[in-house]
Amino acid sequence: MDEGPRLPTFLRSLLLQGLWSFERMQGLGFLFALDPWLRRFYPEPEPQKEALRRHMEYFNTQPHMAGFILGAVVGMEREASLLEGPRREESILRLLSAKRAMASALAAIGDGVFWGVLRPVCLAIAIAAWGLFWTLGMPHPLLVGCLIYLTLFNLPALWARWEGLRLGHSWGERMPQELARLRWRRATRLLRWAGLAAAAAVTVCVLLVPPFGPPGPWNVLWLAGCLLLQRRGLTAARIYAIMGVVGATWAWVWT
Amino acid sequence: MTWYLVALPSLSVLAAALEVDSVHMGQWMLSRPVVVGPFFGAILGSAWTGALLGSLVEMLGLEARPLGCVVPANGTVAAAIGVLLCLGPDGVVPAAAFPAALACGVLFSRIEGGIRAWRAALALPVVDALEEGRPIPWRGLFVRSIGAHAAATALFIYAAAALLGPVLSWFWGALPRVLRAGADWAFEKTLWIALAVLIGSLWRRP
Repeated sequence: MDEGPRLPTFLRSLLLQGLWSFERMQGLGFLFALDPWLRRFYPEPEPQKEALRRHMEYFNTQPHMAGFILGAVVGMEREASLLEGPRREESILRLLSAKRAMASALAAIGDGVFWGVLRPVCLAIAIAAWGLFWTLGMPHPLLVGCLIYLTLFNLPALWARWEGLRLGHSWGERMPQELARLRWRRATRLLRWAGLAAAAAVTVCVLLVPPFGPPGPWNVLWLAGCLLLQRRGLTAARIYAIMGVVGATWAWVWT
Repeated sequence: MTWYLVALPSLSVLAAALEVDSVHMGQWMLSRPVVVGPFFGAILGSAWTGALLGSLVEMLGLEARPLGCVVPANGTVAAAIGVLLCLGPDGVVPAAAFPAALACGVLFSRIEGGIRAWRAALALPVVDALEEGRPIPWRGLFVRSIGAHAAATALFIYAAAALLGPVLSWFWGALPRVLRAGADWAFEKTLWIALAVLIGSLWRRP
């Protein structure tokens, strides 16, 4: 899939979730991205209608990883369109089965990488950058920090969307094996440690110069307490409510 | 009056336009609270206040991931409403504005769920077009889908900021001192809660 035909599909894939519903999830968005290819592969009305209809079905995956599946499906539909009769039907059944399997597999990888690791890592680095640039007296520290956040997230995300189309097209059904060779687990592990380092830097700075109240050992205890309550399964909203009750009780007892 | 007729509607539309990026188009993270907070804060005169509120909302939002059918609390709406309440003409204290903004984010997620359920009907024009051999009217479908969501977002933010501003200002003054102290105390500790969520989300293996 060269750059020429890839660009319209890439742009269409940005609207993958534009028609999101509980019934089909990304199904209509997927069909929208695939539409020009299917019309090209199946110029006759009936096969074209069947091809479009089969990609209206329920589909859901991590949106930044959808390019891999789009590329693979384009390649498999092209091959199916060159066959006829029962061989085409068999090829289409394999295609649909592979599409569902890839959607689940890539959702698991993408959710872990993008939502589970990359988003908090970028956030930690952005907040650390705000503090660092403000301390150094650089102009517009917030703007620079936000740009760092957007750049750090979008570089791998856009790479996955763009290159995923080409890689998915060339890998086809071999996608699980090929993805395993990308060493994404090692990359996410390194990212996590980078994010933890940034979060630790932010935490140390805030403990030394807290924006609310004076610095002191109590702040370490509050942080440790919140970490402990989190590990026990309490949500942030519940911890916030507990803090409110404790604060009100403290104020009532001591005044 | 300029606030309610010019500034607030404009900022609500701007927030709605940014919010479209969160799910429906692009997902370039322009809608994230950590971006929306300082941006709106800079427009309203205090970027650091916006950055504080936005980063707190962002960190607390790490608890919920947008997986499958889950519609998490809307961080963009929460951050925008929080900044509008704090830096708007009513100048609501952060200790009152922050929990109200979070509650608005949760409430809007219910509205968002309703819009997503309504979108099932958008498959019908696609089916009809296929049956009749016509081109699928994609442009109209996307305009309706994303337009409805953006309109609902803008209206919600406008209504929340316009109503909650004066209400919270009055409520905060009328609140017993003990409860005000409790709310102040809880907001001071939000930073530790948020940092705990951030550290916890990085510590856990994905």
